[in-house]
Amino acid sequence: MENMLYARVVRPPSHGAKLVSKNTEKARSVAAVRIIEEQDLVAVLHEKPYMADKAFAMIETRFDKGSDQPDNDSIFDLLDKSGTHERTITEQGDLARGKQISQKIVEATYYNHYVAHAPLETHSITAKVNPDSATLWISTQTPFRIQPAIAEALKLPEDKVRIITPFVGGGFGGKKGGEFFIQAARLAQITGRPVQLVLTRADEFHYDHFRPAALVKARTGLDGQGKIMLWDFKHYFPGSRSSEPIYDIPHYRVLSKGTARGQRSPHPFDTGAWRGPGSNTNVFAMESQTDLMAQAAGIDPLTFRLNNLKDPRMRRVLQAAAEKFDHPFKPLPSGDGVGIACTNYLNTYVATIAKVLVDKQTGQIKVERMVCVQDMGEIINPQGARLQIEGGLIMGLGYCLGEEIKFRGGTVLTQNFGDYDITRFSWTPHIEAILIENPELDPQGCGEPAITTTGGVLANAVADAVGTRLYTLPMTPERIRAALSK
Amino acid sequence: MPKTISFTLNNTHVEFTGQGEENLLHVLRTDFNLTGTKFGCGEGYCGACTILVDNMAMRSCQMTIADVQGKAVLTIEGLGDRDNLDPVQNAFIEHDALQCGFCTPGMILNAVSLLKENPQPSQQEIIRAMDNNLCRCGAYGRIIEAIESASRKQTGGK
Repeated sequence: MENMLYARVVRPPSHGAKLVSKNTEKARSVAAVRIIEEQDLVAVLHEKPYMADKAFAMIETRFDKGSDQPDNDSIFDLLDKSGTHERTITEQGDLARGKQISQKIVEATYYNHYVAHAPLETHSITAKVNPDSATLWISTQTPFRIQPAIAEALKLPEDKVRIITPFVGGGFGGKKGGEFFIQAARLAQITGRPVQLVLTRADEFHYDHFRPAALVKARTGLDGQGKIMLWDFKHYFPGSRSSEPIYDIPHYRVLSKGTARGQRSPHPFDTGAWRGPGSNTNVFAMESQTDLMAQAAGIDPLTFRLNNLKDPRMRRVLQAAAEKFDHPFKPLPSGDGVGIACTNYLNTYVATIAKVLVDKQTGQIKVERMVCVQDMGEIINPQGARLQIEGGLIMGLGYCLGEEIKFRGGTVLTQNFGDYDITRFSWTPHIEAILIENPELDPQGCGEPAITTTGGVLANAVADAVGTRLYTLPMTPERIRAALSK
Repeated sequence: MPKTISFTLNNTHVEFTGQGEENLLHVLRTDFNLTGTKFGCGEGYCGACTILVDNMAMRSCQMTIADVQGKAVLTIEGLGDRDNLDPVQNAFIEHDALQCGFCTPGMILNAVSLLKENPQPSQQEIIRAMDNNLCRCGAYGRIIEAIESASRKQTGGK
């Protein structure tokens, strides 16, 4: 854009850290640079992005040092003890009675670390602010939601603030608002020139509202025939989506614990919606627990599920997946490395079956094949639906096998893809996505359901492969080796 | 002292005057208005900034303008045109090998570079050559199919 300036903005190295001192002297020596220092906003602008980067590197800042806690090792203990807002999501019957009539009780706790959205395009904005109006090109999923904040920051009426969303280079629930959008708009207003701000990858990890670290405590019971009698789940901090049990159970209670509005969150940074919010963690826990029960009953995981399911839509996706996968299911652990997971995600039904190979020396997991059957009601764009299923499963491999944000207090230590393992070509299995014809039902959601099965299906497949179960995601080679050595 | 860097850009002789240390990705995007090459990570991990330099795939975010003195640079804009796309571009379209499209220019140029060096790669060779190009949307399966298809077309198969 003509007359445009590229901006780099100072941000704290750690969430909540306060600026103690700054020195922009050296940065000012760069020819034609503009430095803006207005209260909390310290920015470098230049007509050339490489000059803005050069000047930015010359700014000296000192921030106060925050706490080193919590960190990756202590977070789950903190979450376990935190939060006062506990609500009952659903319940039926009586837990004590359920325990009484159960022959076997199975207990386990499941853990998920923080995970980033990590879209390949970082957040970006180009802002053009006139005296009585503004036009902004913003990489966002929610232009209407951020319009008021921008209008307020610019002191313009909302109907004079136009937000244009170009094609977004990936969002996954992570591209909404952000103080950097406000900063860019203010800089455009202050300088009187169009301003473009593009987050660096380190900024992107710093500012991300991660999928929350969470734990799920499960206590379930089954009778002598492998029928589930008791389902007592406590979901701590993932959110409650998909936490209603899908099986036929006479006595159940699902609790969800988080932080109430206005209360201080135990998370050292913001968390938010991540493709299939809540459900990735919850379905991982629920479907892992289901396999634990199948194993306790000595029944193969497909038969165990079907024996506890009357829901015709769930039976249909499970049976269609099993038929396509064409494998004789055996009780866990069979050494075959095959796992199942199924869920009802906001009225879209999904069943996924996966086969894995585990190298017991290195702990490397290779996902060989996945079959995923989805019943989403009337299908408008079948090819689009298949792409979303494939894309979701492939993206999901990341949080199952490699993705974990490293942090120390409010400092996000993860800075780039060298520290953060997302799915690669070499991880990708052969995937068959099958769409169920169900045109009597209105079109249901399609982009999120499949990914929510990846945690459960891979945890179950790994347990079947090596006879040892992992209760924490991601299942890194390190964690596999540690589990196998026990 | 300002230098003049001469090189070929998308089959045209061009010049850039500066210090020589300017980041190549940003020079292409800003000074030459070629925004098809993308900024994904700035540290050479993701491959979104991939261009061809003398027919070899290189990560422009890790290069300076001086690095291309006297060389032939090809960005995605220089690969085929609307009426006459490169076979790899056609294959990506036919096989739905993209979703958000941000990794796509880098993927295509890396694939073009691979096929120049190895016109009939096995699937394993494709995976090895492409493994450091990242895609968050999960188009990997279809990208492999597209490259296999382009390879077959280019070597006279179907």
